[in-house]
Amino acid sequence: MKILIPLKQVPDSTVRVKVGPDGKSIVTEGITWSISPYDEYAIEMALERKDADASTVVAVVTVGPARSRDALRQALAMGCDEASLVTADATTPLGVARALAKVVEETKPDLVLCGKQASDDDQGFVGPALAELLGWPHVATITKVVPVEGGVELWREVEGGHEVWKAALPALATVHKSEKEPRYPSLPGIMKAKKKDIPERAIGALGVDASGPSWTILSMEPPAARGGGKILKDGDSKQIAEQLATALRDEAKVL
Amino acid sequence: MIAPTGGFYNGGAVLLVLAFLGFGAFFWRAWRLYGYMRLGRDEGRIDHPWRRVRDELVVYLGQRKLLKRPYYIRGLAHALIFWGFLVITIGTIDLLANGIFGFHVPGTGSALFAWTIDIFAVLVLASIAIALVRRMFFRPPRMHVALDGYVILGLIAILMVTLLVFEGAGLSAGLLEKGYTPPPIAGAVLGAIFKGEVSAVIFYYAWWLHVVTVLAFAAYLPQSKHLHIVTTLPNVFFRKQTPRGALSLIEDIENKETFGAASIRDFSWKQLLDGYTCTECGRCSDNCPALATGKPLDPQKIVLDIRDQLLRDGSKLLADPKADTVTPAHFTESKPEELWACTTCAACVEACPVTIEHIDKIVDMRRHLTLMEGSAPPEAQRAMTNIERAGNPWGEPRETRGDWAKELGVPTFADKPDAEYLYFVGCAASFDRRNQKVARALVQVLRAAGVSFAILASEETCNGDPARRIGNEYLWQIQAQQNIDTFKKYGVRKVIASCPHCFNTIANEYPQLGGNYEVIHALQLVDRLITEGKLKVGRGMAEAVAYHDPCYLGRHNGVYDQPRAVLDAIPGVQRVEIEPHNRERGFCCGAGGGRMWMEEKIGQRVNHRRVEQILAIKSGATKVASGCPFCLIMLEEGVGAKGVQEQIRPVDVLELVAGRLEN
Repeated sequence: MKILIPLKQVPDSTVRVKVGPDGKSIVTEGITWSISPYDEYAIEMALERKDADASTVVAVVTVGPARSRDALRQALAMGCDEASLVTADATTPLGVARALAKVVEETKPDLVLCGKQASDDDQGFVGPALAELLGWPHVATITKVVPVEGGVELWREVEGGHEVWKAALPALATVHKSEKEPRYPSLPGIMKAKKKDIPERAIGALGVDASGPSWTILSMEPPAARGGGKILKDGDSKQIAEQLATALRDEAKVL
Repeated sequence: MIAPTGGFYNGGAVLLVLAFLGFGAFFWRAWRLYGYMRLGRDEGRIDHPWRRVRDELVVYLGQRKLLKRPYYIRGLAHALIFWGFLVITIGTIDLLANGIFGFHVPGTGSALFAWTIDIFAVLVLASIAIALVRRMFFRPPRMHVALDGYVILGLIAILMVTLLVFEGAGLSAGLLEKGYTPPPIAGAVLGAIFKGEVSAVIFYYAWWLHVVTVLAFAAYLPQSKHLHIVTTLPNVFFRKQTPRGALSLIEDIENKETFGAASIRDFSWKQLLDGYTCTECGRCSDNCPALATGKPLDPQKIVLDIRDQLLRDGSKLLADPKADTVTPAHFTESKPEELWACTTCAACVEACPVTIEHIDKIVDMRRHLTLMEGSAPPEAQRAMTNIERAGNPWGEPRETRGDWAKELGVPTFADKPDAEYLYFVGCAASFDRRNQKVARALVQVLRAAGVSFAILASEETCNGDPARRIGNEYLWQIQAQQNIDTFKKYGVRKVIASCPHCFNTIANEYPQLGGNYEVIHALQLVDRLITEGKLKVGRGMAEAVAYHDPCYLGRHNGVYDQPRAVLDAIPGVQRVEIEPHNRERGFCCGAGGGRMWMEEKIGQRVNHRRVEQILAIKSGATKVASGCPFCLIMLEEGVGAKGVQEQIRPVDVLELVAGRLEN
């Protein structure tokens, strides 16, 4: 089976995001970038298939700026077999989906696994859009993939249990979580990944329409700084409880 | 000493043949063991030659590491057997020389020598009695008692008894050479028992039994753990002379293909020699905090696993270096869950009388798990990812590293490039709220004493210690190099660390990458400032304070006295020792070796045991002071979980000082 994971490079979750001077974008200078967490789960899920069946081929692709190459390297270090980069400095989500559809047509994977959403803009758009463009079945927010006769079983967690869907291949699923935490790359993996060739082409070379319905950010604001807490310490426990109830009712207005 | 054979043609030839068989068996086996040992990888161990000679004198001849609490009596019994062995061996050589060739080793005919041997023979017998009684009636729980031990004790006992008997009987029978001074026990006591003609017969048989036992002993020795009487000699000589806290560097890491130890061939020859030297005394196990709290780790087993596998597979591997010996062929026998339980606290290394290096083996095997298999526990992987991406194991935003210091107006090196000291804050004091208080306390203290210092704020990154001890040498090198580059950029020469892990790795491990600095732990500096009169500590509340030794300050770096001196210099503070788990027997808090970031699900939590020990001293201490942010976190958690916050409060010594500053 060949599995393709389209991934996105996003500011790492440890980065304290700052709004830039234009008030409409975040400061990206000097920050740490990494693979979007749900994409990491998708990679781990695919690699778990590869662990179970060594004939599985796992490929990754990204549509993004040149720095995204580092994210592909990381995916290769984790154990993915192939990676390719489509450079695009600014494009619309639909444009990304169209570019990916082109890559899918060329590389012919049996299964495409996308993270359910990217952690930077949380749109959750590209996965379903790609399935739509390809005309493939799509199952959202899966937690497990099991190959079965005639296709794959796709497991999703729902309130109080799980659903099991079955899809004929090729199919696309978006990933909520993998069974294990995304693996830490081995050092030989990191070294091999450094030497691996990552073919690159510009989105223009794919001959796809990179435009699409788009939106404009009007302004960005960091959340207001949290005020200091309040410690109630005068009086015995009964009096403190009364003060707390009063504060919750009158100040916090939650009672 | 005398011999009944009386020269080569008069029985000496028979003795020569027997000696040839006994020592032949010894060397045959020893040569094989040497061959197996050479299966290990190369490792240079001849740096600091004088220190090596000194250690031979102190540790091997002086038995220094045996004579330690709480092992004084057992240690003395061992030392007596050992010293007796040394003296009596000279007598044995004389015995054989005389028996085979009819000449004497010079000096062995003297009264002094006869008396020495005589007295030692009795002391050895007494020590054997102690050892036997201990094994039979007061067996320590960790002691692995096997037939081997009894065989050895029995052989030594036979040797001593026959020695005394043939001397006594020989004296009575008038078989002594002229000028031989009768030693007291053999002469006066036994000489009085053996009388008349029968004494010549007793002499004859006792002498032969003695000599045959000596030769049987030689033949048996290399089959036995008792071989340590030979292997300890090289094992002490080739012990690690670099700082205990420094793990080995993997050089040229980017161009290597395999990392760490997966098979016995991946250990160095010295690590294999450690296996031959282990006497299964169990002192390492006795002191291991992981084993004590029910974890699957037993440091002795780690050493013996390697030895047993080597003895079992050695000949196959010698015949064919690629031989499949076990399934899976390349695996060592220590299991991952054993290896991950280690806190690298060095209690085992400290306790080992024959200088076996346990931690290095464990970390080498962890290196294989982490670097080759990527199979570190998930929480450890998360910590490593966080170090990679955010420069700290908690994954706090890198940019906020210096935020704790903003209110205090602590300068960074960018603000104050001429600062004398770099205060390397470390991740815990930068991000953990409890430990931020300690960092603030240190700033107060440094300012009071007029010390010129600056921090690196967001330019500082994790020193790499957790990564290295989890086995991720690569990540350690990246982190260390990054700090070294930053230090270079600002011309840093002197470093203060309030965290013993930062202190240890910068002082002892950064030199491996060319980073040489004068590194001082905050409590060492405070001790100096108080002694020099630059810091005045006033009287505060009178209180009893227990001192908890951080492993990476105490056992790894020998800093026991300065933190205590600081406590003693605070008027009103009465220092209390957490006996018997203090100083070199200090009990780990459970956070070392990257365990700070791993879950602890098996057995009792190490920090809870530590809190129990602190409470058990019933000293009236209301605080337990330490000098390590991890210890502080662990003690706070332990005290909280046990609900004893009212009884004992964990603090850092720095906080006690800062609260009482007078200048």
